Amino acid sequence: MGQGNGISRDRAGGNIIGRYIYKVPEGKLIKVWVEVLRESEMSDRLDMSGITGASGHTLVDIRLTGDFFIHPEEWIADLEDELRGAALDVVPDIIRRKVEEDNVLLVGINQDDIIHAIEQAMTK
Amino acid sequence: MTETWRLLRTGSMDAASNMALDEAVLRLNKGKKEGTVRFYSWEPKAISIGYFQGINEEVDVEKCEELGVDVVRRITGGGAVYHDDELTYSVIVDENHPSISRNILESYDHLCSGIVKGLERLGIDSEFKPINDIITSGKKISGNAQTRRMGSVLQHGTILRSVDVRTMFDLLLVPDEKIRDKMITAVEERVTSISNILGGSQPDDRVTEAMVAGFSEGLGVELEPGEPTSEELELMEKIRREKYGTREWNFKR
Repeated sequence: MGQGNGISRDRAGGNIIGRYIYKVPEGKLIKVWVEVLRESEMSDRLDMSGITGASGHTLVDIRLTGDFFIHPEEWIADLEDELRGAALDVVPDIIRRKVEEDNVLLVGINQDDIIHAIEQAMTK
Repeated sequence: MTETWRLLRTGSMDAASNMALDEAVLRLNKGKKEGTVRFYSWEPKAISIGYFQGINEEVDVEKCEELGVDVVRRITGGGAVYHDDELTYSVIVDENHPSISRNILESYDHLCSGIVKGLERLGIDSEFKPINDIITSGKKISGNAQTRRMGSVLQHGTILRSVDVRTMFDLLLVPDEKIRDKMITAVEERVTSISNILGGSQPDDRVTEAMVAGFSEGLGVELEPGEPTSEELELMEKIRREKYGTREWNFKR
C-alpha cells in the first residue's frame, strides 16, 4: 500500500466526519470525505445493529475526489449514490460489483485503492 | 493514402469558451472519419481542475477572482493545471479509428507522440511517461488528459513554454501552509519548460508550427487548416452558457 495521510475527525449532528488522502503507489491521489454513523455512538439510544452491520459503521454520506481517471466519468456519482446508507462490511462488495457490472475503466487507481481509502476514512 | 485531418488554431479565449469548444467538437464528431487537432491558449489566465477534483480542496477561488484568473472544471480527469505561458492542444477523433487503441495508456502514448515529435523539432528530446505525462531529462514538460464519450476520444493537454510555479502555488491550495515553500521547490525540481531547456523564450509561432508538424508526423496524417463550423460555434456557445460558465458545473464537487 502507498502513503496515506490527512486523516482528520469532526462531528456533524452526532455522526463522525472522516477524511483520508491516499496516494496510490505509481498512481494518482484519492481524497475521501465520509460522514459515518457509528453504532457505539448511538447504542444507548437505539438498536442500530440492523443498519450498521457487523462493523457497526454505516456510511451516511461520501465524496470521492482526486486527480485520477474513470471512464465513464459520471460513474463516480452513481457509486457515491449506491454507497450512501451502506454498512462498512458491504462497501468492498458494492464497489467490486459495480466496477464489474458497469464495465468501468479506472486509470491511475484500482478498485482496491478506493476500498482501502474509504475503509481508512471510515474507521481510523 | 495519408488521411487529412482538420487543424484548428483558435488563439486565446476564456476558460469556459475553451472547454466548451473542445466539447462541442467532441459532441459533433460522431460519424466523422477524420479527426481534428486544435491549438489554443487562455486569456485571461486560468486554472482548470480535473473532472473528479473538489474545487474548494484544490483552488484558492477568492484569490483567483481577485487576480482575474478564470477557474473551470474540465470534462476530463487528472489534476489542476495553471494555464499561463503554454500552448494547449486537443485531439478529437472517432473512438473506432484504426489508430486509436482501446487500451487507454496505449492511446495516450500514440496521441502524445505528436508532442514528442514537436518538441524534437525544437531540439528537445522527450518521451511519454505513463500515465499521462511527457518528460524531458526526467522533468515533466507536458500533462495530458483523455475522455471517451459519444463514440469519440477527446485528449487535451498542455505544452509548457515557461513555468511560474510560485504564482501557480498562490492560486492552488496546499495541504499545509508550513510546507508551501518546500512544495514549490519540489515542483520546480520536477517540472520544466521549453524556455528553461532552450535558455530563453521562443516565439509563439515557432512553437506552434513545430507542434503542427509534430502532430502531423506523430499521428501520420496531413493537417489542413480549417475553422470551427457554425454548428460547432453555436453548440460551443450553448455549452459555455449552460455548463462551463456556471457555478453548478464548476463547483459540482
